[in-house]
Amino acid sequence: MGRSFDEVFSAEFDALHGYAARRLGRSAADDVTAETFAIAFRRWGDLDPSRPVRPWLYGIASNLIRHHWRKERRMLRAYARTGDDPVLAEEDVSLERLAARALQPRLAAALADLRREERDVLLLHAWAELGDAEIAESLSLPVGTVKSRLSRAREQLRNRLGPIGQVEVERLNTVEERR
Amino acid sequence: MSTDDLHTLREFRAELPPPDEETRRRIYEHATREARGRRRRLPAVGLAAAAAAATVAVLLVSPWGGNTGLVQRALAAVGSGEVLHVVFTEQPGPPGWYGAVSLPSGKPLPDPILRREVWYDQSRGLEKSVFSLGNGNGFGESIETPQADYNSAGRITNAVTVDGNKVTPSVGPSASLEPALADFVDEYQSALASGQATRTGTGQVDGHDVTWLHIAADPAHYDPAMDVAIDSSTYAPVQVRTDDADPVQFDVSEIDTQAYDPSLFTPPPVTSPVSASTGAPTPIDATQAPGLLDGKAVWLGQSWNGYELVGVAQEQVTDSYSPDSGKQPVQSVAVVFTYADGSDMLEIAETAQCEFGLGLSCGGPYQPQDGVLFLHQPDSSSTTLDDGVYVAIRQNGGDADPVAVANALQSITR
Repeated sequence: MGRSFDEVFSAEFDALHGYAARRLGRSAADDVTAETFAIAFRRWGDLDPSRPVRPWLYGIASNLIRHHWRKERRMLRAYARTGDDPVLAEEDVSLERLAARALQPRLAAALADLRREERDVLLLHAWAELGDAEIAESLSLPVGTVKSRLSRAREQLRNRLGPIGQVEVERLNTVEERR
Repeated sequence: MSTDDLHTLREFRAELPPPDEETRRRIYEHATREARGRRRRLPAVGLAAAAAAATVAVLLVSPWGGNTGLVQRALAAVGSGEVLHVVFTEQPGPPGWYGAVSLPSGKPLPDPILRREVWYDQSRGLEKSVFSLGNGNGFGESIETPQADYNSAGRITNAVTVDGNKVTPSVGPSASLEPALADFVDEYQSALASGQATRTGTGQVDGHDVTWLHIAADPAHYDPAMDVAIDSSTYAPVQVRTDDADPVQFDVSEIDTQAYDPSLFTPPPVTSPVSASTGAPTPIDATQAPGLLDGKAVWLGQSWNGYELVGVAQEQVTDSYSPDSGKQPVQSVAVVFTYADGSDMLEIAETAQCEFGLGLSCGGPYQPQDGVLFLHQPDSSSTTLDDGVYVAIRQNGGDADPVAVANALQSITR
């Protein structure tokens, strides 16, 4: 027996909204999340209850986020240029958290330079925490393609973050451990 | 630390607090109201869009200040056809991504000049780009359409629509220009039309008398400020510089508008693989390598600078092409020489043809060349072409100078 729409909404809303918000900012995330669930609600009766619903939802969301790719890339580039995160500008973020973000303009630049299809796969993996097979289902790709795109994206990210990134991550870990 | 990148990404992701209950309720109501009649957007967003449209309308009819003559001519120079056509040259980036050095001097070589020709039809959501080197040698083409994107590897599927259990490629967004050019095209025409471009002086660019226009940043749309040089006789833009912490400069050699021609936006032929796989290595004797690579192979000898040859292996590399192309997989042979100095490893991987599966860049500005070493920083790999053999030099630990490694390569005699 599959879950009801309300159950899925309750279980998935925060994560899906957070995923969209990190990519596009809160305002656009409201729109994308609303439209994702609206499409899901409209097609709920057609959904095979034996199949997992998360890849399906993120597939819809990815399709909608794709319409905003230029905005996403511009926001990432703006963040990389200025060090001011456009997504967090409207949020109430503690100074402690802000201090731990020294690496992130570089990360934003690296994300901005990824190909769109590689960024989708990487962020579904890292932020939506979908597995390779789930990403494949979300984006209608062979699993091998997901693996190769993920591998390429991560390689590019590692290359861009480089040894400074590793030092910075170690520092962040230390900060987290002290908290 | 193979998870560093994911850890950093998740730090980036984890900072956002969840939306409040009011937002959650509003979105839930919007979603479930679909059954009673579809609305595309949340009310607040719809109002914002309407307000933005009204703002644009006001801007379009606003006076053009003191630049009227120049601005009118600059707008007219671009034209008003359906398809915007721009030819520009740029430096490849980002800096440090690839670096080229001359062999054997080890001196850095300048980045190659890249030429890009773009046809952009905003109303139909179409974009075509043709890439070439400064010498005119083409190396790539891409097409974006509302249905799909294509490049030399075939159709690129980014997203899907789901209808019940049937999953089909999505009807995607309109094509969008590469950001640097998009910033220019978007800002330039609208800034001219709205009177936001200000004349800041005159000068010369590549021997042409120009007038410089400054276009202020638009933080609301993340548009950087930019300076545009307008040819004083044709009024066409000839050079663009973004004015921010990460400046971009490119030269515009042609800009005009054209009539729509559907044949312009047909997908390019498939020439590049979409993936490559490598089979299990089979140990071989070093003297067998030339026979596997069209008669030529290079190595560092039995030892080099403290590194000892610890293995030679043959690997089967399979390039796979987009299923839509109907092209069959292509197999080739690679030979990998592995050297070790304690725990430091050095690999010389080589093929007779430029091989995507070896990590080589093929067909573009970074395709291995004789006498040039491309350094892929900072992952300690580098590539070159040595006596007709395509070579990737990979390091795991150690600090061997890749230029010294490349210069030490020698042919194997059978």
